[in-house]
Amino acid sequence: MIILIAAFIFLLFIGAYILLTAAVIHHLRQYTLPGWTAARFVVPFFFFLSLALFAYAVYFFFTTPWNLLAAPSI
Amino acid sequence: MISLTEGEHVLMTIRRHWFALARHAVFLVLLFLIPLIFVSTTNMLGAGYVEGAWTPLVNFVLCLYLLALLMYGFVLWTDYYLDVWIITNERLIDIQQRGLFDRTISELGMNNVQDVTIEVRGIIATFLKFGNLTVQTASQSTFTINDAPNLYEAKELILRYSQGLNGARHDRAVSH
Repeated sequence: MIILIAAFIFLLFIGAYILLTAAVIHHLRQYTLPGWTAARFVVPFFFFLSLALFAYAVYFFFTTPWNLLAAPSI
Repeated sequence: MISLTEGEHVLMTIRRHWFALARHAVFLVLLFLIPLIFVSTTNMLGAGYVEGAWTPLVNFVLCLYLLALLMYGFVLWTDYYLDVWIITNERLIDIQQRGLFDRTISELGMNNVQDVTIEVRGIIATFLKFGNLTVQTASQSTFTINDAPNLYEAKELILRYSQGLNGARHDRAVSH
């Protein structure tokens, strides 16, 4: 049961993260004037770090012994 | 998106001084340090989160925390990046970005500029050469950019072009 709750919260977090990222990227595409180049470097850096941290998060999520943690300690 | 009229060109783009961003970045760094302090403290106290079943869970939460901080930093930078003053040969465009979903764009024709005021306050602002630039219009309203670098250059530019436009208008009126 606890793994389902954790998975739900994790998915909610991922959804919110993707929505916010999409909003920021939209703003950058929409309102950047020609000649403003900083976003070309910052956005890939942000994506790279995000993907790396998400990969780690997924890995740790699946290696967490949720049932063991949910069991009452003796 | 800002579109320029025919014959109009951008003279200068002003963003807030990097120090304004650095102030927020310090807060971000402090938030980043919290988990490090937590880990070192629990290790010192012998709680030993790094052992046993709790390890992956703590690392998982840590990853989510770092992702949230990364997003906060990204939004902060976007706010800084899109919050600009654009000085063209015909007008001043003030784009104020407050967070993600609050954006205000104001324009002021160079021929409406009455007065330009520079305000540098404090030791840091004096050393790093940034401050507030206020433009007063003919209708007594004001345009202000806070923590702007290159203040004197911007002031000279605004005054030169506004006086140029006002002078040309005056010359046309006299010749008629």
